[in-house]
Formats: sequence, C-alpha cells, structure tokens
Amino acid sequence: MKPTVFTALVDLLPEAMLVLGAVVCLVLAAARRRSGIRTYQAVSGAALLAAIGMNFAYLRGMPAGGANPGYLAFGGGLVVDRFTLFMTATLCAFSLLTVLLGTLLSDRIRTHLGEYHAFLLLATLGAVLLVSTREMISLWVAAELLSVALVLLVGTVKTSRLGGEAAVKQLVLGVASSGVLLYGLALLYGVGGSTDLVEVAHTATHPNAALVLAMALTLLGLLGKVGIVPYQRLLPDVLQGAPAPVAGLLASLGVAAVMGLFLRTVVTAFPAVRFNWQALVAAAAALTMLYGSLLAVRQRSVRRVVAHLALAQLGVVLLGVLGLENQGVATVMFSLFTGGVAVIAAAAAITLVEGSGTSDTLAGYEGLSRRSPGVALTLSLAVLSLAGLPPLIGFFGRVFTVEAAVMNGWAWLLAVALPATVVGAVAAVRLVRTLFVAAADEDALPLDEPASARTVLTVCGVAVVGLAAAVQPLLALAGAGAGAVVPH
Amino acid sequence: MAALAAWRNDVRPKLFFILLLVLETGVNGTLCALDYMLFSVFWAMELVPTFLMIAIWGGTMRMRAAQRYLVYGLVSLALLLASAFLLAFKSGQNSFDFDLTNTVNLVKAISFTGFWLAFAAFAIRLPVVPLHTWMIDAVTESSPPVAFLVSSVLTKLGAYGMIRIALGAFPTGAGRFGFVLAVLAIIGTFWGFLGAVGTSDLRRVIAYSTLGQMSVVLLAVAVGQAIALNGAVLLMMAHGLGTGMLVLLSGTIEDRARTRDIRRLGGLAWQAPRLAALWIAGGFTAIGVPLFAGFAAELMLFTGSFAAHRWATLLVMIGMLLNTGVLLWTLQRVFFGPAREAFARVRDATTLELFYLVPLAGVALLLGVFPGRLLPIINNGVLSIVSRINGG
Repeated sequence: MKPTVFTALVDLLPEAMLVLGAVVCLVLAAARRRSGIRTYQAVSGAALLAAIGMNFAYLRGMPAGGANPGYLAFGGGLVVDRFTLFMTATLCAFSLLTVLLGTLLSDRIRTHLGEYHAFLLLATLGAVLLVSTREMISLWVAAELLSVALVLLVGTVKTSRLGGEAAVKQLVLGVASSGVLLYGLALLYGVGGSTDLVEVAHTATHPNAALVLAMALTLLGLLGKVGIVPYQRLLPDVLQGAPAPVAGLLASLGVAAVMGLFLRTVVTAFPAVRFNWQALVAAAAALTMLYGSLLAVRQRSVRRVVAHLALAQLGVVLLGVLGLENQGVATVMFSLFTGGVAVIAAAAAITLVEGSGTSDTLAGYEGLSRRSPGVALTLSLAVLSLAGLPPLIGFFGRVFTVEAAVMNGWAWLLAVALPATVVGAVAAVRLVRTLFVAAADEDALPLDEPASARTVLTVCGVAVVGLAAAVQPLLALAGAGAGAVVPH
Repeated sequence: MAALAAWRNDVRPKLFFILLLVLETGVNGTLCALDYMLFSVFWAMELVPTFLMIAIWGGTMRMRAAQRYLVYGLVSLALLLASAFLLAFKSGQNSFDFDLTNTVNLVKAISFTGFWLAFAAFAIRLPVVPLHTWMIDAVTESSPPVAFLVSSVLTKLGAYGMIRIALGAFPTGAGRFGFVLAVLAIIGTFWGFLGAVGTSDLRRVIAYSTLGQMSVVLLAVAVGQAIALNGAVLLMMAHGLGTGMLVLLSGTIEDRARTRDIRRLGGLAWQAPRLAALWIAGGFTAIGVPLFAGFAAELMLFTGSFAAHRWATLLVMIGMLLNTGVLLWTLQRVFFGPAREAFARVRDATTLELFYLVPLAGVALLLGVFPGRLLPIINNGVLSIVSRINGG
C-alpha cells in the first residue's frame, strides 16, 4: 500500500499523544487556574498510557518474525518496527514512574507545575523520536529536543543553586557533544550523499579516512550525550544537582534513548568501518566501566555513588553493542531496561529521603533501615542490581552483554568487566552497609511516604527482584525488537 | 539450627531471620543447581546477607571481618564466572549446563586455565592456606550462630564446588596438578596447627582447626579417588556437626564466663558438666575418635589417598594428629584443672541449648557407628565424577 499523508499521521499517534498532553499541561498552566499537581499528573499519566497503548496496538499488527523490518514514514525519519515499539514502551514507562514521583517535588515547583509536566512529556517525545529514526536531520532535532527539555527540567527548582549549576554544566557539555555530533553527521552526509543512514551505508562501502572520521565524531558526539568516558563528569555532576526525580529520568530515559539511537546508528550506518567503530566502542566501554566503578568506591554522596554505578553499568551496556551478531542488540535493550528500573528505584528512594530534610551524604543515610525499612530495602536492591550482583536483574543484564561480547571475540574485555564488577559491588555494599549496619540518630523520624512515591518504590523494587524470574521472556521480547535492527 | 541458637538474640531479630532465610535459599540453591549461571547466582546470593549478619551482630572487629569476607567472596565470584565463561565458550557448546559442558574434552591449556580459575574460586571459600584469613576473622568476630554458619555451612559449599566443578568439569587439570593440591593440603594442616597453638582466643582455635580439617578435604580432592572423596564428604558432615557444636558452645561459654581467653578460663567442668560433656562430644567428632563420625571419615579418606600420595598423606596425618592435640589441650585448659572462684555461679546448659546441641551429638554418633547407611548415597554422586577423571 502506498503511504498517504493519512497513514503517515497514523504512524505518529503515540507521539501525538505526548504532544497533546504537553499542550494541555501548558494550557492549564496558562489559564491561571491553580490546578493541583494531581491534575497535571493525571493528564501526563493519561498521555503516557495512551502512547504505550498505541504501541501495543501497532505491535498486534506486526508479527514477530526473525527480521521484521517494520515500515517507514517520512522518508526514514520515522521507523516503526519492533525495536521502536520496545524502546518506546520502555521510555514511556520510565517517564510514567517519574511523573508519579513528582508529588514530592510539588512544593518546590508550585509556580510552574504545568511547565514541569509539559517538559517532561516533551523530553519523552524527544526520546521516543530518537529511538525511531534513522535519518540525520530528524535525529538531530530529536536529540536537541531531548537535551533542551532535560536541561530545563534539571534547573526546574529555581531556588536550588545546585540545580542551576547542574543545568549549566549539562548545557555546556550537551552543546559540546552536539557540536561534535554535528561535525560527524555533516561529514557523513558528504561521504554518503544522503541523510538516510541506510543510504549512507549503501554508498559508503569503502573504508577511508573521511568515513572513519565521520564515524568517530558521530559516535563520540552520541556517547557524549550520555557521559561515556571522554565526557565522564557529566552524569555524576548533573545527577548530584538535579531534583531527584529528574535525575532518575535523565539516567533512565535520557540514557536509554540515546543508547537506543546509538545502537541503530552503529549497526546501520557503518558496516564498512566495522573494526574501527568496534575498537572505539571497546575502548570507551573498558574505560567507562573502570572509571565508574573505581570512583563509586570513593564517593561520599549517595547520589554520586548511584551515578557512578550507573555510569559503570553503561560501560557494560556498550559491551553488548560489540556482540551485535550474537544477541548483542537484544542484551543492550534488556540492560537499558533493567538499568533504568534500578536507577528510578534509587531516585525514588533518594527523593523520599531528601524530602525529609536528610542531607545527601553517606552519613545522612546511616541507619535508614530503622527509619524506613521499605525505602532502605529498595535502595539497597537498586544499587546492588546496578552493580550487577546476583540474583537481581542487573546481574542477568550484565552477564548477557558480557557473554555477547565474549562470543564475538572480545574476551579481553572480560578481564576488565570482572574486576570492575567486583569493585562496583564493593561500592554498592558499602552503601547497603550504611543503610543497615549503622545506628540511626536518636531523633531521626520515620520518613514521610506519600502513596504515589510508595507505588514507584514497590513497582521498581518488585521488578528488580521479580523480573529475574522472567528473564527469558523479556529477553525474547527484546530479541524480536533487535531482529528489526540487525542487518541480515 | 542457627535459628535456635539465635533464640536469645534481642537485637533486631526480624532482620536477622530475614537474612538467615535468604542465605539458606542461596545455600540450598547452590547445592541443587545444575547450570553454571544458576550456580553462580545462588553462590553469590548469600554474600550480602552474610556480610550484613557479620557486620551487625559481631564482636569488636566485626566490620573488618565483614569487609574481608565480602571482598574475598566477590573475587571468588568473579573467578567462578570467568571459569564458567571459559568453559562455555571454549567447549564449543555455548551452554552453561553442567551435563553438556562436563562431558566435553577440552584442549589441555584451556582445561588447565579453567581448573585454576575454578580452583582459586573455591579455594577462597574452602579455605586453602594463603586465602584463609577471611574465614578466621569471620568465625572469630561474628556472633556464634553466624560463626556456626560460616564454619559449618559456607566452607562446605567451597568443598562441594571444588568436587563438583573443579574436579567434575576440569578433570585433566585436576589430575595433572594433584601434587600441588596435596602440598597445599599439607601446608594447610600445619598452618592450622600453628595458628591454633599460637592463639589464646577460644574461637580462633576452632577457626584454625576448621582450616586444618578442610585441608584434609583438599587432600581428597588432590587424590580425586572414590574412597577418598567418599571420606571427604563424610568428613565434611562430621566437621559440620563437630565444629558446629564447638562454635556454638564457645558462644555459650563466652556468654557465661564473659571471656573467651583460654588463659582465663579453666575448671568449667565442675560448674557446667553438661557443657563439658557436649564439648567433648563435639571435639571427639571433629578430631575423629572412633565411634564418632569423624573417625570413619578420616579412615576412609586416608586409606584412599595413601596409595596416590604416600608422603603427602603421612604428613597430613601428622598435621591432623597435631591438630587433635591442640583441641584436646584446649579442652583440658578450658574445662579441667582447679575450679575457679570467678566461675562459681556459671549456669550449665539450658534446656534450649540441650535441645539443639544433643541432636547434633546424636547424629554425629550415629554417623560414626553406622556410616554404611549413608555411604551408598554419597558414593553414587562421587562415582560419576571419579569416572570422568579416570576416563579423561
């Protein structure tokens, strides 16, 4: 069937839901009616749920074949395949959990609740577009939409100096990596003669210096957006300053979206310079794993511990990219999901603890298990899962990605991944020890736990433990999505 | 058992039992797993609970002990995973299944590397001499129920893994390096003896005797022969019972006498005859007095290993004799000698303590008198591994 304008619009329905939600939030805010946070949460939640629902509707029409290519719209600007659908559902779920956490933030952003939720939905929109494109211009637009929305969210608490500082840092690093990315894309267009990455791969079949440079710049630009090694200061600094729910969003949704795009880009556009990009990714992965886990041990701030562990986990995720022929893409999708859940669980716990006025230091968290056993338990499970300790889902993600890389001949990375995991685990257990072993202050009160935050905690906590029993189905789901990306 | 021993634990009981059950899940899972990944999952599952249990309910140096435990445990896990990866990919099966991977004949170099990786992983847990410090600390510094778990249950997991994986999956490596293991076993027994002589801390004596006993198990692994391995499995049970009793009793004594310095103890048998009797039963099981389980086990083990490593067996036997001597000496110093004024009001074993200690002694005695009832069950499992070693 020849696509018409109408069918193209139908393909955009999930995205349309997010835009609609954002517009409603803005209109509500502009109407000067003092709507409570519940209204905004309801609107955003409905938009996100609708987007997820649309996704499943598409999924019904797209049987899981070995390589189901899905279909294109807007000249490759929008790809609807099982990869997109898996990632979109994951991203919207992350966003939904973050919306629920907003309750705890509402006092501090009372004057701009509408904008907060609108930007949250726009960030999600950027993320969703990012994982469903294979065309340079829409890629660029989506990446910028995501970055800008996230910067605004990071600085959303206007009275917080740390938040402002984090936003500026993120903006500067974001612009720098955008610049690098733009150079890369421009060169790539010059080499390939098209903005469509698949066309580029067809044209640029001979490795030459220009193509290698284009590849390196593009990949470094993308990795910079998530703070992989040459940009390693990004995640810890921003996660330390941002409001905790936004920090969680950034490290789950932001990271998953960019890594999703990264996957599609390396796999699609650079078959000619395979060995070059694999070497680049391997080096970045090894350095990131080591940097993240080694520094996690030395941190005094709980947020920075989580941030460094998340960074080390990202290094492990990159390993999966190296194993792309052997289920590698599926393991990356799986790990992005598991890592995101763990990060949001940690963010929820941190939100609750800081909401009661506790400082963000290991000393402040001492004896949390007496004050709020549930929060302490979830936070422990989250960091242990991030560090990759069995029997939590993080362990499986880690094992699968490493397995995929080793099977593709990257055995030496095992010698980096194992020690890094041991060190990261020490850092995680150090935090757990603080929560459970140390005595709490005499006058420390139990935390105030609103129902919405408790829901997020429970959902994520149960997922971190319980999904370990459903690893295979989840991986199969990701595998069906990966089939759409990996060339055959 | 540990649950009963912890009956009087007033500090944060809920958390204690939660951690205990998670730990038990891990232990049972490890023993049931038939797949390397699953094995590793369960293997690591007890790490964090045990860490917390040592760190929360231990003695003055508990934090250091807990941290050592954790680091050693994590390194062990990493080594185990490395050997599992090696096995899965180099065997050409791409599977972590015990049955598939076990039957493949590996290239020599791979088999040797894999053997050493797996051996090192389990040697930490067993423990084998240069890697034993965590165990000494953990047994000494944690509360009696936890020390019981560490010395009686967790070290057994090391032995189980060593027999099941280091021997079962890498038979050629095990056959080739048997001599090295035998030497390590000799060092272990003597180290245990020296350590036990050199300390006056009751708990440390027991920890070092555990080291000596586990080195004997290592000798059986070095031999890799059916009778010796049967003996080793039986010895582990005997040790679990015997040393377990000693650890729990040392906790009781510490509780009553407010010290565990052997030099300050003495003559307790007059005030607490029941404790003394139980201690003797436990000690006899551990050192292998005839009629107790330890005797049958050691007899089988040494008979089996003598043919293969004569000198090593003789030396280990001498080491064991010395260890026995230390335990008897400790018994004498703690329970006999003149009654002391300070302990005049020491209470004897309570009903609760009798309730969990007497069955232990009973089972130890039963296993010693009728080891034949249990052996066919052990033998079944052992034979399948031995046949693989011999068949190459």
